[in-house]
Amino acid sequence: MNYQAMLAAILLIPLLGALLNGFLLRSAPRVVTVSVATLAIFIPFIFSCLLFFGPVNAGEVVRTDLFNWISVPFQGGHLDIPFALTVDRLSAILLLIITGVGSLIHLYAGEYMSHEEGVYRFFAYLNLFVFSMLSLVLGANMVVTFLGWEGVGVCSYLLIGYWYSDEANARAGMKAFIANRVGDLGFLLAMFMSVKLFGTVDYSKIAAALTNELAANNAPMITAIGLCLLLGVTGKSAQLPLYIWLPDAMAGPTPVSALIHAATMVTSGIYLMTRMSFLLVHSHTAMTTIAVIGACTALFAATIGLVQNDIKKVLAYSTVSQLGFMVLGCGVGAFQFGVAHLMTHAFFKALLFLGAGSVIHAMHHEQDIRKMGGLIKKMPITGWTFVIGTLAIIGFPGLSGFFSKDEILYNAWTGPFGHPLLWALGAGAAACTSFYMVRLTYLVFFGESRVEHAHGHHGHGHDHHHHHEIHENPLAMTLPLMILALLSIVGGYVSMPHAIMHTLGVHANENIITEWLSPVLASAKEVMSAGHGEEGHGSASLEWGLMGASTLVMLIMSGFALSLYKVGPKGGDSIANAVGGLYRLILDKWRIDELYQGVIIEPLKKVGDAFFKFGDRALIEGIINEGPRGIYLVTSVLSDVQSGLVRNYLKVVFIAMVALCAWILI
Amino acid sequence: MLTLPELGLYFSFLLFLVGLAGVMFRKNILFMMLSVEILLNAANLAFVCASKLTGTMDGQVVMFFVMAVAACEAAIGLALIIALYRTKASIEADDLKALRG
Amino acid sequence: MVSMISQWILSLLIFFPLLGAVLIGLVKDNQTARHLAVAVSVLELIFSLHLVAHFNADSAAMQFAQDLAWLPRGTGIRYTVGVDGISLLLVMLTTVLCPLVFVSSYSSIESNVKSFLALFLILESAMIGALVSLDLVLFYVFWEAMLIPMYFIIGVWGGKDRIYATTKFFIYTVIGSLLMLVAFSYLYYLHYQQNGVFTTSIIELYKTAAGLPADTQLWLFTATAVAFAIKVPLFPFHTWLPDAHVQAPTPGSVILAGVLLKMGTYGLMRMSIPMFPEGAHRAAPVMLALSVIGIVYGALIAWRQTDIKKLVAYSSVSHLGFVVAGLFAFNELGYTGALYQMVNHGVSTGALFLLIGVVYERRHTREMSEYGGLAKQMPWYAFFFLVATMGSVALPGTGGFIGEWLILNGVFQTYPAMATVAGTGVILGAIYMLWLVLKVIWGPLKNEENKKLLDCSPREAFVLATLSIFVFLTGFLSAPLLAHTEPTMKRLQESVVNKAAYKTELVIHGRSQEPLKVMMDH
Repeated sequence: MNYQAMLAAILLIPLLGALLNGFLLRSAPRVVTVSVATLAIFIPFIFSCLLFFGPVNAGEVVRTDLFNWISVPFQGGHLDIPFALTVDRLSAILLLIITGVGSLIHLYAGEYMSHEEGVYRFFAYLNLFVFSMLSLVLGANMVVTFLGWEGVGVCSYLLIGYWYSDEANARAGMKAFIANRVGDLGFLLAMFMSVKLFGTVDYSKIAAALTNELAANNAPMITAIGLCLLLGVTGKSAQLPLYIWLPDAMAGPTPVSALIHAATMVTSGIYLMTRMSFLLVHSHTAMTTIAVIGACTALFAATIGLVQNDIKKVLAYSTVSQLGFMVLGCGVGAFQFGVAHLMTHAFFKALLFLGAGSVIHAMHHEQDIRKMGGLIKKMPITGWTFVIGTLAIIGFPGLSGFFSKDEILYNAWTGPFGHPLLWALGAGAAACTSFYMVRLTYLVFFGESRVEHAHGHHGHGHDHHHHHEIHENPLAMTLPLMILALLSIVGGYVSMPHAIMHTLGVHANENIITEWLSPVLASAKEVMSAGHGEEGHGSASLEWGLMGASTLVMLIMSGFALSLYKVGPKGGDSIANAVGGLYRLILDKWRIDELYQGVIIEPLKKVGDAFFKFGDRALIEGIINEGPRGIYLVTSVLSDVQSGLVRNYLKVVFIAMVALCAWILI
Repeated sequence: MLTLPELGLYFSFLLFLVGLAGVMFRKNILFMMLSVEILLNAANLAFVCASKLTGTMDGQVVMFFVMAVAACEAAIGLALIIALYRTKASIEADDLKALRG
Repeated sequence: MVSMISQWILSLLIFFPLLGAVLIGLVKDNQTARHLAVAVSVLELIFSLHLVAHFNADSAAMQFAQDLAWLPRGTGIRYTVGVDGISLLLVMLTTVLCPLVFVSSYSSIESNVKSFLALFLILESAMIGALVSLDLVLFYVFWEAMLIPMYFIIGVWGGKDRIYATTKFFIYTVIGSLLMLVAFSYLYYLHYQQNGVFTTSIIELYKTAAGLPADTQLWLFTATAVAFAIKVPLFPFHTWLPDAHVQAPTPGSVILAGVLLKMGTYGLMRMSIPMFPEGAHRAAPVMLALSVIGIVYGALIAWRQTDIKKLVAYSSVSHLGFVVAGLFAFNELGYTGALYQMVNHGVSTGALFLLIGVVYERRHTREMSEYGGLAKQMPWYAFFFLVATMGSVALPGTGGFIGEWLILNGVFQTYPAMATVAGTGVILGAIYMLWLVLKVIWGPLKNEENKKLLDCSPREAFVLATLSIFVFLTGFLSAPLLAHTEPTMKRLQESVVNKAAYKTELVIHGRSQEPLKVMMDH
């Protein structure tokens, strides 16, 4: 099997799985459904590994054109958009994450959804999602990427609203889709501008066409492209101001949250920015805006995470915040570390979500952390892997999050578009992260158990199984946890800081991720170093200093959280009461949803009503109906002449004749 | 002194006015029909007299055509009046206002 | 043999449904009449496949042409028909939609079945006739002929306020038609003045019209464009559409949205723009502004409707705004996108109206609040509904995406600001369609009456599945489909950019036309 065919197979097998489950296997036994779905992701995973360690490792770019998709004459030439797939070093990383983590989550979901009826629908959506996600990262041009980009949006819509009988879930899905659509408009406009500027939407052709002169001559357009792409990113990767959909998206089944809203879909913005890095770096404005948005989102979302009581909501805001870190990384020019954090985050956040799902599953859909506690004794595997995930995300030295996050923070200070202020925002977000993650972990797994044993069986169409005893879940659910925990520990070593490398005596010029992505980022690097003389202005001592500072902050905040919450969930009340108004504001998520509702949605509704009432009904219909009515009034006077009486007609004829004779004679 | 044909012409004019007034002011369709006949006969008289004055036969020929047409008209007209009377139970012209605008 | 067929195929396509209508009149039994109508329309579809099979995709000429004497020679009015890249796709759309409509009418039309079927077949004739006519008078005859069956379809088989709706529809369209007639007559006269002969041949008049002074062109353009804009309907001429759609029976709505509205945009593409390029250039900012306003305006109103059919009707206003915007972008991207979007809108909106019909037949209400949670009771219905929705919101992978992408791209190349505003229509489109889905498909199954609803019958499922397949086929097979239109689009662009006459010619297959003339004369 050659690599081109393999590439096509990677994309098409999940689609096949979706079609099989969606149409042919609707009434198949659960085990068939789950196996088909999981295999449809696992086989591509094997192919992805072959590609990754084969041609991609050797530095080749594999490309396959499936068919000619759009082909129109344009400006004397032709605008051809083939349905082309390509895998380079960047997409290969995402391939492994999507198919690898995806397989684990499918395996997990098979068990997690074991009490549901008609899971074929769930797995069909999930496979369709993977298909879309793969076309997003494999697309050789922006339109194929856009196919995936909107495709994941739809699958996310369907999966968030999977339990559609509750309208709130369906509404959450709708909100996600619409917020994403706003971003998609940005992506669309970016495509149109590329067509205008370069006459193509193919990444490699744009890269070839974009010379320094062209960029200098069309600086406003390049900036506009960058900002439009950023709009797309804020939608898909849940950044300010479009992040509002992600917390609501937790209405979906937890494996969905893990796969879509943590590991893959939401990171596609980072992928896109890295893919377009060669263009973005030409615009200082765009890069700075990206960095600022990322940093602000990281801090903003982290503050909301501090006070949430729903286990999934905390993780959701944490995801928004971590995505902010990645965007910040891209914005300061450290695309490779954005990708590295994307990868480590995929591991530990998927782990945390699956762990949360495991808890929720065992507690029969209880999500309030105030009603948990002490679960580690009953669910040791879930508990300890969750602890590993927490340590990874807060950046405990040696675990994956430490390396990737510290590289981003270091570059936020020293990178080509960096600024100490950006670092400060990032560090603040990291401090909040330590606090809320430790709070979450402690309240769920440690301390006294606050589980109410008698609580009823609410939930989503669950059958009435009567084992109230909370216990560890089966291997199908814990195995993915253990694998992800392992990856969360070691995953960060690809982005080991220089300072540590030197100390450890590793004699490589760059860390693994920088080395690996260097072909992808070569032209961006060139532009950045040309624009800023020497790349970066950091030093080993600064690096050590920042690392130490963030570690110290992490330890202090974790200790603080532990000391507050060792008495249980009420531990934070004293502080909450001290800053009452602010606390409630944060608890209400800064009331951004209400703001949007009041400032955008409601006025738009009013405008729609007004258009209908005054525009259509009163104005246009008025003219249409009243105009003829005026004519009618005039004609009804005239029509009285037409009396219908022959005598009268004759009189008219007579008068006319007399008049005619008179006129002729006189 | 007027000759007979000339007198006939003046008389036909008076007769026409009588017929016209009848058609215009009578309300009963039957009388309107009769008035129409008077109109036609006024025309006939005018034709005959004119023929006499000019010394050609054209007018008298046309008179015969007109009489034939008048006979047909009377027959069809009466038939229509009967049909109308059957459907409307009236031969008042003012009751027939279907063409009113 | 093939060339013989090619020569007569368009006349066959025009008159075969008419023959079918006559046959329907001879049949006694309603059920037989229904089968017969389906058979006629399916045969028609099969005949139309000949066009696809033998269409020369490298040529912008009018193919399968036929040019016969019709009215006395001095008038210059002839029976001229032909198909090029613009009309081919729309003819195919018509022949594909009609059988589906007939199949769906098995349950939606209960009274006066035979008259309905006969009128519908006459309508099909007229639609195809209007799409392939290359003579102004012939076009006008078919254009008006479309109106009469539709007038009766809404007026006889429609809902409560059908008379108001159908009269409004009729008056609006007729006013436009009269403007068009005046413009055409003046053009006819001008041609005589310049050349000393009368002609109504569109191909000939392209040459005359493009040479007219700019002001004259603007007037003539405006008169024809208003006629077509009413049919589209373009803001602010759209208010007949919601009424007509709401009152029309399901098959009527489907064909109204699917094909009749496209006649307006087709007219702009066939007549207004290539005939009066200078006038079109002058009017383009206004036309674009109106279409962009229509996109946003229609979408916002659609969002606020509680009647499902009205919502979809206003969504048509919004979608057709995209099509018109594409036409006035004056580049190939825009034209191609507009043409493609006509087809896609026909498929996805046709499907939506059929879907509304399915529940309307069961519940006899179109109020959104009466529904909700249908996914539980009618899973296949929900599936088809979602597919149609995705087609309507122009999701990549559906044909709507290709259409909208090309249109917006085309408009962006010439008027970036307009395209950006029009782009918000993409967001608003998602809002009102998902709102509809939320209220009808998702949510709890609260209404007791909905708990007894049956899922799609095999007949309904067949129709909806066919359209769903088309939604995706057009999304992926756009390159081969658009290849048929490419030379025509290039030609159109040449004419518009250079403000020169649109050049095309008749390609008459097979034998010379003389013996045929003799046949016709006898």
